[in-house]
Amino acid sequence: MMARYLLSRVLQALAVVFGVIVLTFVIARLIPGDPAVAYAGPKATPAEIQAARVRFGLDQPAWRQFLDYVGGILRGDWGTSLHTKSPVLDDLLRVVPTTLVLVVCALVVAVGVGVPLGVFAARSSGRLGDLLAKIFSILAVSMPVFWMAILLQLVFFSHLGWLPAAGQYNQSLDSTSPLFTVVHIPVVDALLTGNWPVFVSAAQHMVLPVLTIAAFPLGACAMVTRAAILDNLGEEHIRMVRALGFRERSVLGRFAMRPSLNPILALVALVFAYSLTNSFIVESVFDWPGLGSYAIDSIQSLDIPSILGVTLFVALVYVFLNLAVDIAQALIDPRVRS
Amino acid sequence: MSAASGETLDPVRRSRLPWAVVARHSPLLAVGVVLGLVIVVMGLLAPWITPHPQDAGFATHPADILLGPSRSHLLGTDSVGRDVLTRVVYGARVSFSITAFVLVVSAVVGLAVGLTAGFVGGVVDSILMRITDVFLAFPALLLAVALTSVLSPSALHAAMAIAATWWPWYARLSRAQAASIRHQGYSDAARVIGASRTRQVLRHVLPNAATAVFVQMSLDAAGIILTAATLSYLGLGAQDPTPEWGLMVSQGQSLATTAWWVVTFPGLAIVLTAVACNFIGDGLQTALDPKRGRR
Repeated sequence: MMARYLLSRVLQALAVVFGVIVLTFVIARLIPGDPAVAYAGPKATPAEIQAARVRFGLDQPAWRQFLDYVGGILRGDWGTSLHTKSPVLDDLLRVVPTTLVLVVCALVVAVGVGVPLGVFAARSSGRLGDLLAKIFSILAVSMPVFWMAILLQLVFFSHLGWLPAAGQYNQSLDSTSPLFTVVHIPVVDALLTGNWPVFVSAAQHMVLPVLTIAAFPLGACAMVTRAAILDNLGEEHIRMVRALGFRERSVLGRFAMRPSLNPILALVALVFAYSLTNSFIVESVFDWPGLGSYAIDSIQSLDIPSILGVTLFVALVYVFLNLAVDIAQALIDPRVRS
Repeated sequence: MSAASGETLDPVRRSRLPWAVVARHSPLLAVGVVLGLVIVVMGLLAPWITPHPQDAGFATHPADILLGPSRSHLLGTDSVGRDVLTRVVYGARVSFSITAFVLVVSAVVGLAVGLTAGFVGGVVDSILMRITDVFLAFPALLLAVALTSVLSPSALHAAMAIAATWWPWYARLSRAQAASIRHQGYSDAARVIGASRTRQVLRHVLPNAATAVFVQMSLDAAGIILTAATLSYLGLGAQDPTPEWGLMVSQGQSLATTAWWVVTFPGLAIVLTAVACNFIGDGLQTALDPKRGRR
């Protein structure tokens, strides 16, 4: 039963991956104008344009281009970025870890605050606490990311001067406590090499971007947790444990929480991909050199191979996470398998 | 605690609900409706209630650049001297037009795909739903960014791109509705007496799927407003001088430390509108779906 479920889920995910590749290929062909002309530049001679056309296989028929495109993606050739002039996949592998630091921290904050908030709301269901928690959650999911980032900067940097506005750490520390690079992420490098001044500075630089990315997942997490727990409270097994005289604490914490983990897990996979996309804005506002800044640079220089590389990458991460969540859910909850 | 029947609104009688009952049962719904109405009415009446209607267009006032909030410019002026209040109020028109476009297009496309898949079933169902899955594999903003950056940036292209990312949710929702209704007694009865497939879908399935779709539309409005504003902020949506809130924030960003009002008020308008939509969506969900929205 389990093996069959897993196999069908993996096949389904592969079908979606294929569809995602087809869709990015189609988007690339929507571009008005000739990509070869765009690559060769405004002053190119017809011979140079023709060379670019041959180089990118644009002289081939569409089906041939598509096969080359799929083959390239499978071989790790995701095209060449127009603005960095290096392979897109190399660029992505370079920038993604820096972004993951932000996104993972943000999701830890979101789940760490959102889930307890949702439990609290479910416990005080229908009373003032529930209403306040709901208003807070709705405010959190209604924030335009770009605006929140700019306002946090205005308040905490410009007016209060409590936190730095941009960058990964205070680079003037380089003279007093030079940072040895291990994985090329300052905050991790500082931690690994025991460089406390840089670590503290790097942590301070992360506060505002992490808060900005965390807002939406936090609100969503609180709402989903509340709804899942209230759904479960109506179930037979809860009536049973109540009748058996368990305290309300363990009714909520143990018996209603366990089956609520599935929707929360599914939500985390969803907001992970959304947070990668939100990093576009957050990183450009806070000058954080990760996937988001790379995406914004690509958009501004109309660098289609890079834009599609980022799109494909985030979509693949999302498909993979969904698959992982489905498998995890099947392991946790036997009902999912059937 | 979990006995919900007394707490929720009876769906059968929802059309005759007195206002006071709504307000008591779901204060957030009431607040959302009032707030939403205020924003819509202000947007509609923009030419008559704004102090400088010409500032919504190409007008510039070199003498009035970056004035702080004052009696003549309640929310100050922007970097070319336009009245921020005027542009924020006009912004409601842009935002609501884009949202309405996206909602209608994605609901119609989604219903068509979803009802077909759910009612026909079989291979057609599988193919349509796999296509839907592919679109759902992209976060909305991501696909919209990819689409608008290969097209030329404009409000219409932004709206089309968002609709292209939003319809799959409606397809999935209406497919589930169609599949569940298909096997209900009245649907079988209609089939038995020889109703055509089209008639079955239009007369029996569609009206029943409509409620779920309307709730979904109210819940989605906030997300669409935020996505549209984000696209304009990135320069991929409406272009100057269109008074679009996201665009206004991006135009004020570099001046934020000296002229905070230029970024703050358009952003606040986005938050208030999104909050109003979310309050309405949440309230409707609570009122119409007792199990999920139990209070």
